Amino acid sequence: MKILLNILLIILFLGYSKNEEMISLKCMVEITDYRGEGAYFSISIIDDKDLYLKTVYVLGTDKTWFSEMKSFWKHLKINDLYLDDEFYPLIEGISGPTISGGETRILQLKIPKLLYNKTNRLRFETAVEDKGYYTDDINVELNNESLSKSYQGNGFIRNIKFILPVK
Amino acid sequence: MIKGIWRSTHFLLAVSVSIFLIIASVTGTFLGIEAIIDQSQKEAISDLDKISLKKTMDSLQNNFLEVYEISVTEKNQVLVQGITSKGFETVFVNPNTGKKLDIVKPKTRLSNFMKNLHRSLFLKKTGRILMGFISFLTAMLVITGFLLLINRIGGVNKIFRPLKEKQFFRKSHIELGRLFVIPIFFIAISGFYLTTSRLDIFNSNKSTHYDYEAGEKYVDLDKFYLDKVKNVIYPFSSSENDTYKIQLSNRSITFQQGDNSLLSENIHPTPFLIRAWAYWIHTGESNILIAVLLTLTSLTLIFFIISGLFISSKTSWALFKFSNIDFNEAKIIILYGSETGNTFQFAKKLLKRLHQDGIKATICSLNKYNFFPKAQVFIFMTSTYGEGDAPSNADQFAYKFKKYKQLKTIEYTVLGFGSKSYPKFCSFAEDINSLLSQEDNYSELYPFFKINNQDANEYLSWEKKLISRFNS
Repeated sequence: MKILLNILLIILFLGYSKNEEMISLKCMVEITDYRGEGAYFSISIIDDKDLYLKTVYVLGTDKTWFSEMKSFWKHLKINDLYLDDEFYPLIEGISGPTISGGETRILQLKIPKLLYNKTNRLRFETAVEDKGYYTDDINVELNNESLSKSYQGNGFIRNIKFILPVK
Repeated sequence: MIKGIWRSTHFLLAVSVSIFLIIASVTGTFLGIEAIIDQSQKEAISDLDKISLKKTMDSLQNNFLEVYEISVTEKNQVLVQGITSKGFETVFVNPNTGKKLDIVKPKTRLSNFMKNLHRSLFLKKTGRILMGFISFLTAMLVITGFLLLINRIGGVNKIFRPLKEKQFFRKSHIELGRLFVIPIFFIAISGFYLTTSRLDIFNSNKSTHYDYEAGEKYVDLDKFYLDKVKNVIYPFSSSENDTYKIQLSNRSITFQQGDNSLLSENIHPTPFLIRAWAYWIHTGESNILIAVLLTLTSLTLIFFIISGLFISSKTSWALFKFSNIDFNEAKIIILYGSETGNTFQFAKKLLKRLHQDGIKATICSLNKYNFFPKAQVFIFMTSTYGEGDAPSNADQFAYKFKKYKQLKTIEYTVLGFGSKSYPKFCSFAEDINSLLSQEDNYSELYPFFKINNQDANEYLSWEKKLISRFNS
């Protein structure tokens, strides 16, 4: 019975998410000149009470390290999402070791239109294996005005900027 | 003596790494096969060294509205992230035409599972350190194994001579040993380097940075070939501050959009290059021949563990556990010299037979030779090692024999084990026999006898005749 209910919920969810209108943000992340393992990122939309609404991007291939992004991991566990394939990164090697400094990534973030230009925020959580974890490496308001500026990160992110929206 | 140390070290190393080595080689086999499959797929491009970056970048212009990033994967695939008519996509492309090949498939769970197990046993940093240490021990295992091999064969110059060994596991252990000694060594060393280089030991090695004025130097994209390119990050926007960033195998550069003038250059430090080399060698992801070799080597390692177990169950345990009963009471002492454990098996057989007859007998390796106050009979049973040398538990016999003179008169017999295919067939046994024949208080109980290839019938007839001497 529970399984049936789950399947129903998933179908509903998928249907919902398909019809959901998205906006695209182009985003450039520059990583600081640290040495060691690649950084794990998760980029999530949170509301003004710090609740996770949606995770829009995850960087890093090795699931075992996801738990280092503690807040994100908690969210996955509470919502029973950590088995969901959607959260596994698409490409291998997206977070290779950054030996020579300042690797840069350009990402495309898909944000549900319903969540944009409201009181929500965009949170970049970063962790590097045993080098540390930053809940709010970047934490900015999710609206046109705020995203038109560039930001410096508190942890492994040196710099971040957006172009909005790409069609 | 030295050989004994190598053998014990080889055995102890093998025992302590075997569990981990089994895990590493089973997962390694899987990953190797995966690397082979990946490289035989259509997206794999072999002639990256002939395709210039300019050509690829130009061809992408026709197929993408906007490119974010080009990366050349370890598996020689060209991956592009950018905007097409379908929106943002991450796709493999043909670097010549810029056309899309296939949509990126995420790595399978099984594959990630294997990789994780292979690297760190799911124990994160601890597991990495452990696996790094295992790699180190494996390298040591290769070295001790190689020394044993040389000793066995009788010199480095004879390394490719055909073997005379008959027993399957022993023969294949040696045969594969000499074939795979180099690949295994490189895998172990590169694995060791890959794990240790992650542990921040090489932090002090900074890359060398150069800055240039715009217009001072220009970048010619026609001169970069894809085999040396790791990735290209396109300018974020058309703003003048946004530049191209290119990671090459030995350095990274940034240059201005528009006139391509070089702005900065970072030369990677040596450890970075060694790491890239170790990765190349250890994963075989960019060379199908290496991938095949790695897979074969992993399979060989599994076989090594199995065959090593069979060999050691006969030899090494015996070499370790052996210490004997009451030398002071025994009338008959069986003195054996055994390299591989076969002669020891015969010696134990004889001991059992004597005990059945109620004779006070004991068994003792030649190196444990000592005073035997009640001894009346010495039965020597020994093999010969390599080119007429003593087996490793008999190489001190000559010295000990001179040191411990027996007080009574001793009757003796010598039984040699060996193979007629060796020119020095039973020559160590012969040496013992001639040594004893020169001694005054030794008399021959039964003539010197040789057994070829552990022939059980020859042994039984010898045993029968010997025992009849005791009863007469």
